[in-house]
Amino acid sequence: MFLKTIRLFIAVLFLSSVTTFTAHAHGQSIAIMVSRDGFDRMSNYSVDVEAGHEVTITFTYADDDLTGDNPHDIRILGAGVDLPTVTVSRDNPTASITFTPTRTGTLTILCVIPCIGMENLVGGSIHVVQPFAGGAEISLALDLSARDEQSVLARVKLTDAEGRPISDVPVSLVLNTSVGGEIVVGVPVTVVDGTAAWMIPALAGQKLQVSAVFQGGNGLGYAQNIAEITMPGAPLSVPLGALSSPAPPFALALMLVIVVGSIWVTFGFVAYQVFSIRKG
Amino acid sequence: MEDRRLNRRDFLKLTSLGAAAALAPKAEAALRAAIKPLVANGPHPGDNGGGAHRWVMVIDLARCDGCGECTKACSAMHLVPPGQEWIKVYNIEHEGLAASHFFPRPCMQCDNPPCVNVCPVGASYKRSDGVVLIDQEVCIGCRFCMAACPYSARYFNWAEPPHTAQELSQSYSVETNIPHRKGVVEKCLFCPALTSKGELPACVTGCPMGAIYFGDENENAVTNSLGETLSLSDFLHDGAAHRHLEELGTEPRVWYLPPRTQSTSTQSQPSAVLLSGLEG
Amino acid sequence: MTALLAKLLGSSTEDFDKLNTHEKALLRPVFVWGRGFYLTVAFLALIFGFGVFAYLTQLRDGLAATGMRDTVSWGLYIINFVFFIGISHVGALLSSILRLTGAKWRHPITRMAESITFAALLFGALMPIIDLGRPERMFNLIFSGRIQSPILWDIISITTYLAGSSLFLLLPLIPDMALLRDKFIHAPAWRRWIYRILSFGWTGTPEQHARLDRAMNTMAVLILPIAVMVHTVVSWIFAMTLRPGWNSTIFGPYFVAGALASGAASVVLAMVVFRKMYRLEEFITLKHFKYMAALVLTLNLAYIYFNISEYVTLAYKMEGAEKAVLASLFSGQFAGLFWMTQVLGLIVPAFLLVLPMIKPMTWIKRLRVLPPMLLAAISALFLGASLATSFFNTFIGFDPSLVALAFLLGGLAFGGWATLTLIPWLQARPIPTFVIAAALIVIQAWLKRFIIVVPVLEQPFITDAAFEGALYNPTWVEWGITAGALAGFLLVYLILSRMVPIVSVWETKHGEVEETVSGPAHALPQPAGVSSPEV
Repeated sequence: MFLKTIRLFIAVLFLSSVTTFTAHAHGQSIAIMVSRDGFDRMSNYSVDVEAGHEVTITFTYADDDLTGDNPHDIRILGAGVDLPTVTVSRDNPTASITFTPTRTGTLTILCVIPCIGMENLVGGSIHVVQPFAGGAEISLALDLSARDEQSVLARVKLTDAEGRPISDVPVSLVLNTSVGGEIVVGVPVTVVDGTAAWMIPALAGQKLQVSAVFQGGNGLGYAQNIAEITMPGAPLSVPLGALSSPAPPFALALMLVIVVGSIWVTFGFVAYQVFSIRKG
Repeated sequence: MEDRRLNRRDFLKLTSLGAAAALAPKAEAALRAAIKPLVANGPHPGDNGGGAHRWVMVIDLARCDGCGECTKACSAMHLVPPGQEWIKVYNIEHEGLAASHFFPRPCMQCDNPPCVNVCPVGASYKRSDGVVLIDQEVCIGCRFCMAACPYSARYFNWAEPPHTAQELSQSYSVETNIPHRKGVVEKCLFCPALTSKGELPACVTGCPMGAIYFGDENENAVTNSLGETLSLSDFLHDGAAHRHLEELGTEPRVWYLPPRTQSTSTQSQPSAVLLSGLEG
Repeated sequence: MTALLAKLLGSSTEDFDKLNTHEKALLRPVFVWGRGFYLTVAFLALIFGFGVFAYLTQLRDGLAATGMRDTVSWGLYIINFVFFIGISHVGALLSSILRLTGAKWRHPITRMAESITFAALLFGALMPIIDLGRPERMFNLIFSGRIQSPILWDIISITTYLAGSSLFLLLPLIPDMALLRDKFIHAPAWRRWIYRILSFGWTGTPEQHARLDRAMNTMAVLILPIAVMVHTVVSWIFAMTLRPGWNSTIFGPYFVAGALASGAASVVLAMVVFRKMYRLEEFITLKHFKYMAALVLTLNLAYIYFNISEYVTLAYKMEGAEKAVLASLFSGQFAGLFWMTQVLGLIVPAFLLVLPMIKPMTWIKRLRVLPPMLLAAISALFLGASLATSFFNTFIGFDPSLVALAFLLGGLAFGGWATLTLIPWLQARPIPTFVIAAALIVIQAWLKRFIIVVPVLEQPFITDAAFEGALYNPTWVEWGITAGALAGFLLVYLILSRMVPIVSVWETKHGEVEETVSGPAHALPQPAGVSSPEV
């Protein structure tokens, strides 16, 4: 009974999440969100990959807040690669591409449809670097869910190529800010079942973009994943005082109308006296 | 004689009835509607709304070396007319024994802005994301805002500013104040054209020392040009940062970390680096 | 030429001869326009035209044509604005306060005062518009005005005061307009039309007098709070900012007191000018000067009190940001102007106003070894020499400070002796003394506004280590517009005094027995069968 409740609880937690990404990779796996604000909402996206190892890039459509469809045709260009176009759109939100870069250098990643925000989707780059000294392929799953109005639960699960959990390793959770900054919000360590959890403080209406990064080491490879969540409620904005607001404070307006109005009404009375002098 | 007295009585009756009618609640709505034409909250050209942010700037005075690159970057970005320095670096000297330090002064984007409070036509207004913008198509050039600003952050186009073809080809936007006009006021805007694209303002990116941090109070993180991101609440809780002329009640949105001479730390690292735990 | 102008503009001796003595004395300037008048108008119009030309230059080149820049962003225009609005308070003072207290001596001078108010308000309200960077957008103040702004309060209160003052100028004019309508038959059409319209069918019946009385009583009560409100709101342009030197709670009453003092002083000047120009010695007598002087003295002392209140409390504390401003006023860039304005403009006039009112100090006559003028000349010589010795250092290379000090002391000694011996001279000539005091107060009023506006702007909160204070040097455009505004003000005033009698005919009709300065008292003839107006 108790176990059933636990399983039910976990299922409910799983269902209550807003977005979830899972990437299986043979080699390096990268998740990139594509929207009119740029790759991962940056106008100068950049990522490092190892030469000689298979790279899987999963693109996810992130222009859901638009009422219409804003599809993106993504191409990766550069020396040593000849890759097809990957399309993501509202009806086809995820698409992935797998390739093995053989030469070190820089590849350019861009969207080739003239769309809204196209100037943000032309400057992405993939730097191909010398491979790390080994490292088995692993996969990292990241899930974000709102616990209450002011916090977000981030859960990661680290598994190897056979699906076995990897425990006792640190996973960095990094908040990607809206101005391109990255701040580490927590470094949980995975437990026996390969999962780790962390509470991230958030505000109502805030849109968070969190990356989970496992640096690799001890024979394990590098893994990264990214997820977004928008908190419920209206976002906090800067309050306006009565003196600063464009609309006049009603009390002041009323007072002015009464005081100044009564003065002008009295002027009218005086003018009436003047004009009635004519009557004699 | 009696006729005249009656007339006056009738007149007084009418005016008092009128006054009573004015106080009726139904008339309140009519008053509001009548005042509406006087309300200065029309759409401002090029204002894209602030988005769900609360922008804040942090300047580390221990890092500022007075190079003036921030001013140059800002002037290049906004084609600022000669003689104006929207972010101005002062060399502040203390009376007595303390050494001098450099003090970059952008517009503080106050939460109780004296400039917005006194503007007679609503040309200066505060947006929900915290920035104070100027609609130069409404501004009458009375310069009351300049008298009211205690930070001397506002500049006036006393003559026709020099124009280039590039500048004149842009359509006027309150987010850039380009093209510049004679006879109106302008100032630092926290680069809304850049921040709406997820980029840092020009002065932040232009600072070679990474002394200027910028970010969203909602995300509790500020980032500088070197990619260093700090958590706002960390140093605010420590009381390490202060706002300039806070005692005037302007509620500025720019925080200052103390200069090297006032730091209580005996180490040579600037306080911001110590607080973030990053290596220098 | 004069004859042609006379025909066009209306100058007639035909109707003039039919008037009675009382009317003749007061209406000559209205009926007969001479060469002096035309020349003065031309001269003033020329200066006004120069002011217009200066403004057009400013429109073309932008406000860069002025001496204002980003640090000192307000200058002569705002100074003129506060000055003119200040002067305009005299109407409220004389017409309202003196009417409510039943002071009968006010009758010959109320119209002079109300005309000053009217003309001063016109040019005062014009000044902030001249100061705008975008005057063509002036109507944004109505279309998108924010009532949280003190400038909007200014607009409302000045418009209200202008309407009230116009009414208050017009009301007592009605019987005189009727008189002109009836007696000035050969006036040119445009003048006859004005007199007809603005007399509102006045025939002098008791009912009409009752209406006029009611109207004037209402206005007298109403105009006083309006006047107080106007200059308080004008002071809040400064006091609602955070700047040191402006961020003061007493600015409201401080400005109102200054306005009343300067306005009253300007009436004294108007009195002496019209008395001479229009030969009104019968109506504007020594008694009037003495009463006005008492009024000016009271207001001046009140203003001195406010000055002390403001500066002494600041100086005692020398608080942070105020330090720089006070230093520049007391011992820095503005020290000369500040002390000259306070001493020569406020304290010396107080003494000058008191002198003719007290018993003549005959014991001073024993000090009169040398004529006062000679003493004044000697002291000027000494003072000039002490100033000149400071230049010796550059040529001769010896330290002349002791010599300069000797000359300074000598100059002060002779100056003091001269002042003492001047006292009996001043006491024997009350009217010139009052006029000198009034002139000093009016000039002080303008310079005081300069001292309030500019030094504060020159010392912002945040300054560089190398900062020494921004310098404000008004250009010819600003001086030209100032001169043009002054000329315009005088022009409006002068023309008013020639269109209607500057001393109210009907209010002075009940024949007060006056003692003039020169001759024995003589009574004015009592016109029969005319109802006296109520006071």
